[in-house]
Parts: sequence; structure tokens; C-alpha cells
Amino acid sequence: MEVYRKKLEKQKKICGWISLISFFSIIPIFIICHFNEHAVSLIHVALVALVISLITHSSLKKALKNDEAFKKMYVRDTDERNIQIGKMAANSALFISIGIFIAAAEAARWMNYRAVSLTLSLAAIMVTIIYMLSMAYFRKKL
Amino acid sequence: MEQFRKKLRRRVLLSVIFCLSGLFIYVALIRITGAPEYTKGILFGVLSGSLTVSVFNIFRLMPLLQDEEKLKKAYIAETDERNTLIQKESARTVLSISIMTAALAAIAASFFNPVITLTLSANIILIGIVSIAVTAYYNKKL
Repeated sequence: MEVYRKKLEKQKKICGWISLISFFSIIPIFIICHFNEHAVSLIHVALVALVISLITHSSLKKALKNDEAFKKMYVRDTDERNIQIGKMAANSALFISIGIFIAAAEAARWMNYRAVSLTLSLAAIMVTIIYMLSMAYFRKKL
Repeated sequence: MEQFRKKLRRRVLLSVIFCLSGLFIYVALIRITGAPEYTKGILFGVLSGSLTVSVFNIFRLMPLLQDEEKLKKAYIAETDERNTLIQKESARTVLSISIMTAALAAIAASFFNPVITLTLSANIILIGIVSIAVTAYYNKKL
């Protein structure tokens, strides 16, 4: 339980840093990108990061202060069934996503959307390569 | 073991059906629709790739069904806890890495090409939706 509390405190700290960085990066982005459309898209990214990190930060803060919420979070995170479901879902989701990427790449090529087709093909290749590398890593580690 | 044998038989049968129906669909599509050269090329590529996989599967699985020793080895390899664990752990890691890489690539691409940014963002959303859907499915199933 104490190890888990430390882990949450660490996560809270990281979330705090991310929200600070994303908040203070908005003005420099405007200056560096000379107020053009790139600045707008980058600011969208910074805002999304800010909102997500703030929400996570507040839920972690609540869990660290309130014993009941902390216990709930602990049970949710360490429950064997939940962990098993997460692993199985990740495994299936990975293969389904690769299949959809390949099918969508073919469809985009058919419709002459060259950039889309290339991006999707590269995404599928990248995911497969990362999968093989991580398989090799876990084979050594486990 | 008997279940595994049945499973392998089903896989061989499915591969054979896939080969035959693939060939039939290819010929029918070419004859009926009078597809242009480019489409013919794509169809041929998809067909030859899937046929190669199916034929490889048939040649790999047939000896297992005839030799008891090989069947036992394949059964152990397929049901080995360590292999399953490695696969699941890898899938989980790969999903997180792919989402992060795609997000970074989308930000980088926003400077050059909005189409690529949109495609990569759609990739991330798709992975998220598939993960949520599969998790909900396993939550009900397990």
C-alpha cells in the first residue's frame, strides 16, 4: 500500500510538471511560430495536454487526501481481473488496429489518396516493428 | 489435446476454403468488373500475399496432424504460459508506444502536411476506440 502511495505521488508530480510546461509553452509557441496557423495547432496540443494533466492531477490529489478514494483506486489498479482484461484487450486491439490500418491504406490507395495510404502503411509497419522489438525485449527479460 | 487437434483441423480447412474462395473471387472480379490495370495489380498483390500465407499454413499444420510427437510440441508451444505472457506484455507496451509516437509524429507533421496530421490523429482515435470496445467486450466476457 505504501509503495502504491509513493507511485501515485510520483505520478501527481509528473502531471503537475506537464501542466506547468504546457501552460507556459503557449506564449513561446506564439512567438516562435510568428502567430501563424502552426501556432494554433501546437496550442491545441498544449491545451489538450494541459486539460488531461490537470484532470489526472486533481483525481490523484483527491485519492491521496481521501482514504476511501485511495483504497478504491488501489483495488482498481491491482485487481487481477482488471489487469488480465487490460492485457487481453491490448493484445486484441493491437492486431485489430494493424488489420484496419492495412485495409484503410489499401482503400486510400484505391481512391488515389497517396499521402494517406503511405502514412497508414508506415504506421502499420512501425507498429509491427515495435511489436517485434518489444517481443524480443520481453523474451530476454521474462 | 483432442481439442487442439480439432482446432488445427479447423485451421487447415479454413485455409483451404480461403485459398479456393480467394481464387474464385479474384477471377470473378477481374472477369465481371473488367478492372483497370492498376486495380488488377492491387488485387493480384493482395491475393498472392494471402494465398502464400494460407498455403504456408497448410504445409505447416498438415505434418502436425500426422505426427503425434510434433503435435505435442506444437501444443506445448501454443499453450505455454511464458509465451502468452510475453505476447500480452508486448502488446500492452506497443499500444502505449505507438500512441505516443503517432502523437509526436502528428505534431511534427503539422508543420509540413495537414493531411498526414489528420491521418495520424485518426490513427490514434481509432486505436483508442478499438481498445475501449475490446475492453468492454472482455469486461462482459470474463
